[in-house]
Amino acid sequence: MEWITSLFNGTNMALAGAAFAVFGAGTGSAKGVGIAGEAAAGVLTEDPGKFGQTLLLQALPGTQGIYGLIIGFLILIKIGIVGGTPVELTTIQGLSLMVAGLPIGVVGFTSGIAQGRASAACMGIIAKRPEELGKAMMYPAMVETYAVLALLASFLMWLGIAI
Amino acid sequence: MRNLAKNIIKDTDYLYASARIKALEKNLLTRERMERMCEARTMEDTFKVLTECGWPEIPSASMADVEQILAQRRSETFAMLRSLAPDQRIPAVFLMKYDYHNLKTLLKSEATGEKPDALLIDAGRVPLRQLMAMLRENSFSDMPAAMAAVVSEGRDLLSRTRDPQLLDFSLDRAMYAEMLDTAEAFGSGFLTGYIRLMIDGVNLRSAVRLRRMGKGSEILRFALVPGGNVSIMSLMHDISPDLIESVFASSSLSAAAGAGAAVLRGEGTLAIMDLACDDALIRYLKRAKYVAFGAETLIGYLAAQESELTAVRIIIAGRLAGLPSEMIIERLRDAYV
Amino acid sequence: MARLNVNPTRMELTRLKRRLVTARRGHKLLKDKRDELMKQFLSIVHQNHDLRQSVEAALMQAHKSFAVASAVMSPEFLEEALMYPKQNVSLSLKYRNIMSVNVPLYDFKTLSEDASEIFPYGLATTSGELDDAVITLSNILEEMLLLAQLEKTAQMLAQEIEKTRRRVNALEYVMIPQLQETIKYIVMKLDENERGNLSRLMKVKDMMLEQARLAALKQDEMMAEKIS
Repeated sequence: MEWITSLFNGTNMALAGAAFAVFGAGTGSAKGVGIAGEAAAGVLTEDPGKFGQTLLLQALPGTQGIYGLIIGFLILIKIGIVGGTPVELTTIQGLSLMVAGLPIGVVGFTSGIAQGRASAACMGIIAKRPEELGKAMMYPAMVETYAVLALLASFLMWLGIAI
Repeated sequence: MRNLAKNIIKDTDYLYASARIKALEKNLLTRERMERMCEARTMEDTFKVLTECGWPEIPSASMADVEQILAQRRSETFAMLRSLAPDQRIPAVFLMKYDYHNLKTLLKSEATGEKPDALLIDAGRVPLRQLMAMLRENSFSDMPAAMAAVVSEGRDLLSRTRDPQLLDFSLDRAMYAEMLDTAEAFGSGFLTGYIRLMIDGVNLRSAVRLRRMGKGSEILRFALVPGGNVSIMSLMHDISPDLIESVFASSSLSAAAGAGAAVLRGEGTLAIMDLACDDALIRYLKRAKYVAFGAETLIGYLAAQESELTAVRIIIAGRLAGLPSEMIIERLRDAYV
Repeated sequence: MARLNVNPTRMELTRLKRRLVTARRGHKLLKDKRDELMKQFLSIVHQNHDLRQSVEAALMQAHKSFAVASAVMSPEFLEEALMYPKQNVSLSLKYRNIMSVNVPLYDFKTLSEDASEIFPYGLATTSGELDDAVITLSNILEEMLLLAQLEKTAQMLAQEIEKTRRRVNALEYVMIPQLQETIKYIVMKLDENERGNLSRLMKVKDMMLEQARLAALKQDEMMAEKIS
């Protein structure tokens, strides 16, 4: 019993939340950038002149990872692991911080992959009509909205949790 | 379980291939480019449209040279698709045509004693040399199973009946059956649908042409290919224009069936029906263009390449024959891009 | 016109006269033959002309269908479709006599009675236009054979006409005038001989009369001497 309560103490819960935010969003971004990258390679094989445009499209799904990292950092700062003295947290407080990490973790994961696919699809536009880059970028960028919304939700939760 | 898992196609396996194909699609002949080829003032201008699309220079305006370039394009396309496709069954479906063609040629040349070399196409799954050796030594174990099953049967059929048409019927049926099996095992609904539509087209054209040749309905049993969207049972009657129209009414071949019925009524030409069949196939394939990545892109591209080769042959042969451009354009198939 | 190199004898004359009669008769006969041959030839040429036009039109049609088929199909597929012929045709040859010219008569028989048994290929990989080409060609096979027969006949008749005309001309312009000339020559020669003979005889007669007169004179003188 003793070890269970020590395992689920506030700090550990908050750490898990931070880890989840970074992990989920990061994995999503990695997959997304990978998907877009494969498609970019295909386009580049036939048309090496399109490196710039394809790189731009490939980079789009990378933002989720950054958002995840931001939330992770914020949580770590709040519990004092980074830049301060560690704060004693109750289990409930820790749980709250963990929940705050969930939106960006989950949405970052799914939106990263979804954005990667949208980017890869838009590589097809770049392959055929490079002049339509602006429009092509809009589609994957729309997916970004939801990652930003999740980031906002996570941030608001983080802001609201009083320690 | 493992087998099942293997059959699930992940479209992300096709990211690289699809993107590369999309980049290549840019070089396919559009309808507008084809018409420019027809209307070009000189043969050089016609060829220039091709070189703009990445074709090699055609050395002279003779059909032999053009055919050589066409064969080269074909083998290049297949070589690329074979290296690009995550699953070899996609190019295989399109290569079977050449395997069965070679098989037919070799079996017929066995019977007539004619030298087949000039008629063979070394493009199939089984390299030509191997295929010839297999037939010589009667060992079909290295052949694709479906082909091996039909070789001795075909040989018997030919020596018994001396009817090359029956041999062709039997090999064509085997070919479409193998295509369909391969597509189904591959698990792409798009590919299966394409082959089913192709079978429907073959059945429609066979029914109309056999009727026009004055054959009875009993031959339909050999000539029709099972596996299409339209059941062949519904066609195994006395073929009449109305039957053709009603059987294909609800399929995407209804326009082609209308043209076929017109042929039987003595109003149209077979060329219009063939054209309508091919256009229906292209229309079906065009769906692949809306798929960002996946097997569909590859399938669509392969089919588009084949129809492009035909289009180029029609244009250049027509121009060499001195046909007016409107007449050539009339006969052109719809373009994929 | 040169005359024949013969001895101007009466026997030769009768022989030549006989020959002239034969030549005249031959000339007339050959002329009749030539006219009849011409009549036959012209009718065949007309027939030939019409048939050739219809065959050529059909061939053009077949060629057009075939050109379209070969544009749609790749050449290997096209040739494979046609490499093993299904229908067999046997051709028999007989002769007909037109004015002693032996002209050929073709007769063909297909191995299978079924007229639809002419397509040696499957339908999946072939174009419909190939059917059209094969049907057209199969339909004009009979006409083409008839055309071949007519053309050969016309050719042989033309040769025969040429030969006959040469003979007629030879008779008309060489043989007959020659014979006539020679006959005329012999007749003239004979007449001349006749005239020569006559004058000789007359001379002999004159000489004999003179001699007789002289003899009579001599006798008279001798009588007178006796009397005196």
